[in-house]
Amino acid sequence: MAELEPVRFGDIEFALIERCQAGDRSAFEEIFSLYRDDVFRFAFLVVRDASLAQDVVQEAFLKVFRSIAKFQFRSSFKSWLYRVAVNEAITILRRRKIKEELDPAPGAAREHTAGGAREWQPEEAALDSEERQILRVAIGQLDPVHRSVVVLKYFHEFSDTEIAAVIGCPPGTVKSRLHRARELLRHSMARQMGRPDLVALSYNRLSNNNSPLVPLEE
Amino acid sequence: MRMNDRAIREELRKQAISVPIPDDMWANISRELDKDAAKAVRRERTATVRVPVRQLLAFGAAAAVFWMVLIPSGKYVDRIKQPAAPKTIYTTTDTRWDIPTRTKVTGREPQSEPQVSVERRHPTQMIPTSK
Repeated sequence: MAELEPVRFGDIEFALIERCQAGDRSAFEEIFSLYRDDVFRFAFLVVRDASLAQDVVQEAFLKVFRSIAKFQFRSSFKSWLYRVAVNEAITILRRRKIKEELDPAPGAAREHTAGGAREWQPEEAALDSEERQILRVAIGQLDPVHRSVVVLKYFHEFSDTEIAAVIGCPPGTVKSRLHRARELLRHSMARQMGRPDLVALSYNRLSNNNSPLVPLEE
Repeated sequence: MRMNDRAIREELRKQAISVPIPDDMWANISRELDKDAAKAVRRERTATVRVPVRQLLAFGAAAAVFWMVLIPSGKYVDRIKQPAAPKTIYTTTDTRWDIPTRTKVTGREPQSEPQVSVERRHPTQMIPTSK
């Protein structure tokens, strides 16, 4: 586990959590409205499906509310919430055995229509640069664990220590996971671009890593 | 191939803003919390009924153990400890093979105490000893 400095809670957050611990549901609603958007976006980027992301958010907040009485202010509430969300996202993905699409367009179309999101427009894809499309597919092909780390780092801009607290591992492991995630992205992009030289290079880099090769597809 | 941190960040942001936040999430959560509360109330109600049932079950189990352990110990244990001496005579059809018999004294044994060894014989080889 990462060694964290003593967490400083804001007065409002502290008071809200204490009220929640006393069973005040309106306080929990306020906490929900504080974190709802961030947690939903995080879940969406990890599970890549709006309705699944909604399930993740609901389950995560329910779990947090059910066990908030045990929260002892030793870690950040945000880290705890995200940890529950990460675990929930991975569990839901495993449970439903979602297979990532290799073809970006139909996959993206289904993701966006699920849960009432706006539909994917082919002309948008034409406007997107080819590299961006390739990167999108590559991110989609990452396994959920690496994708969670990438999303926390690049979208939520968490520090390595904060990610370590969320994932429940030392900061060094976070760094190595990020490095590996980048290599996996490079490998996937090179493969999509039909560059065997780059594929071989990234494969060698991945093989030199101590951790086992993570499959691109689940 | 361009794959830098900025590109990843921009791509993730683009994906994140493309999907609207569902507005019925709190309603679903609230419904689940209501169910939890109703379940807790039901559990509390049944708990008051369950306590005597549990106590009764525990008392019954204790009584059964008492009957199975303590009652036989007075009445039957003596019979188990001191079985009646067999009054049978060994015959060639006796299937009890491990009857101790005396063997010859070879003279090598220490004189202080007579050596008795036990050997196993088949019932057909068994010679009744005369007392």
